[in-house]
Amino acid sequence: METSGKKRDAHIVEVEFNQQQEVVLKQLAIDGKYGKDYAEIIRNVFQELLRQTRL
Amino acid sequence: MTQYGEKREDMVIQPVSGKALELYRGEVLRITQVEGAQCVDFNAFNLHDYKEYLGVSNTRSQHGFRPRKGDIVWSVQSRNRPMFIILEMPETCVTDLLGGRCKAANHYPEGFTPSAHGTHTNCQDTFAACIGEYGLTPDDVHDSFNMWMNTEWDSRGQYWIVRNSGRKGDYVDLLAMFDTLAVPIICGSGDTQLTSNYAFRPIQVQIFKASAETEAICISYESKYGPAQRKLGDFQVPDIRTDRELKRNANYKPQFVNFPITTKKIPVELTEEQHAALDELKNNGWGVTDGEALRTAFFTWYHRNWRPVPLRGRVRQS
Repeated sequence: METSGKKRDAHIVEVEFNQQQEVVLKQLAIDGKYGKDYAEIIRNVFQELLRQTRL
Repeated sequence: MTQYGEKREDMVIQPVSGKALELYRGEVLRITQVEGAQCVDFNAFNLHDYKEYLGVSNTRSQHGFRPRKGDIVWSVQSRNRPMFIILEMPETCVTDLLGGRCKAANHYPEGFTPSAHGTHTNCQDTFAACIGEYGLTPDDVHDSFNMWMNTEWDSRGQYWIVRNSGRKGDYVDLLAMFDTLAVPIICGSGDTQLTSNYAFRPIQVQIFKASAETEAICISYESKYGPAQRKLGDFQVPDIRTDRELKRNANYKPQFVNFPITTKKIPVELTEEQHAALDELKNNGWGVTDGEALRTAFFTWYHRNWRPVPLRGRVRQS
């Protein structure tokens, strides 16, 4: 289902979103604060969560 | 305080009885403790479509176990609209959405069985007696919105009853958002249980006509919550059954919402540091795979930061 791999120092993580979850992404993309591209939004949101939780 | 219209009904409901009352949009039902400490159970139906009735679990999901002044009493999820607004409710009126309603069998251990001492009074039977006036059956009685019912509960939701804190003169005002059949009754278990401090007492019930202010309140709630309402036109099967036997319709094709669910894979590039943090989240139970943990992280952030705050401003996801 989801895999991860290495690209130099980076990791590619595949995340599955269904059509309803995608609506959430679409709304964030329209807002633009966290990016326009889905992958960019997910990464930025993840980074924001890490910042908030100080992980 | 909101200005109501003139009083058009005023009655005292005697112990172990109740009354089905037509309460129209914009009108206010006032329930008053005549002596205090009397648990009042409450059922309500859309006067023009009894299949829409007071939704205890719908209300509970919005306001918790104890709705109070300012909260909304919702109709069932199939319709999902504000049914009553609690305009007035004193702190001494503790509400309950856990107990449902008492039934005759609750009192079997006390000897109230058909073969021994007969039936003990109970809310199921009292409600049924009231709504029979409108052709409704005991099966139409629904879980009750309980007022002046002091319950406490443990972490599993097991509840117990503590002493009734209702005081003489306490009153609750419920504003009807649409035409309803409102059914307040005296709880039938309070003489042998702590619900009403081991005694039955009367309650006073009054109805105040709609006023410009109450109508304005109705309009404001409608404008806010109206779009979330479901109507018969939304139903795949809108007609009410008239026979009791369930029979399969071989030609029926269910219209499930957003069926089938489809997914798409989104590749997300993470730095070494971010990936290490994702590993930590996995170790903390956020998911088995990287993708699952990242999705959990995404929605955890979303619920904490982004999702529009629902009623009463309570969102808790973690």
